[in-house]
Amino acid sequence: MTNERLTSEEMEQRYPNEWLFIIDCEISENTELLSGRVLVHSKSRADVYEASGHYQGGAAIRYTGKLPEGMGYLL
Amino acid sequence: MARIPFNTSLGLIILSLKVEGVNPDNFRNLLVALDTGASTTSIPTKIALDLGYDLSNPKEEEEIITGSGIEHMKRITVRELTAIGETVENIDVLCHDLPADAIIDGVLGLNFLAHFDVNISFSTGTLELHPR
Repeated sequence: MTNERLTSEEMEQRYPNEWLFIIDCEISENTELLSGRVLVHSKSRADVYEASGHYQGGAAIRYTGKLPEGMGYLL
Repeated sequence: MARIPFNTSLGLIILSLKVEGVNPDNFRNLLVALDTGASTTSIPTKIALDLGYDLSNPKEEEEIITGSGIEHMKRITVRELTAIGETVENIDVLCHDLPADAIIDGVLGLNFLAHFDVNISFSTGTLELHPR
């Protein structure tokens, strides 16, 4: 865990292609995450969901990577 | 009127969704895809549980037609959903877990969007919600 507050852009640079569990979130009027403190980072989404289960309070979950090349969505 | 930018090159409109917990101090801000083909907003089962919702006694357990077949999902009512700067109270969500490779946690469906008039501009990469 880092005590350092990071912006969303800084999180993407520091933890590329990882799932993040973020606390002390600063959220814009339009509901976008502006900054926060990264409590857990992992290549596995399951690790971040696990962290969520141990935390009571406001938090954000983000993946800093992109959709894999050649993969699309039909939801 | 609320407006957010989106990346027109992603192939998905990805936005933030704030899901309020049973306890007012508890929320999760997730990334979801705008999905006008989804009748109901969905969030991960684990997140619903973490926010204090009782999935052992859902409002309904229903069959949902998805792109890959019929799935059984639990429907619950959450205290508030906020997206694109607009909040809808006491709104249903389906508890649904997307595959591990998904880079989003759920979808924002019509049961949220239908509270507004929605403008999507691919020319400007903006999404607007207007009160009805």
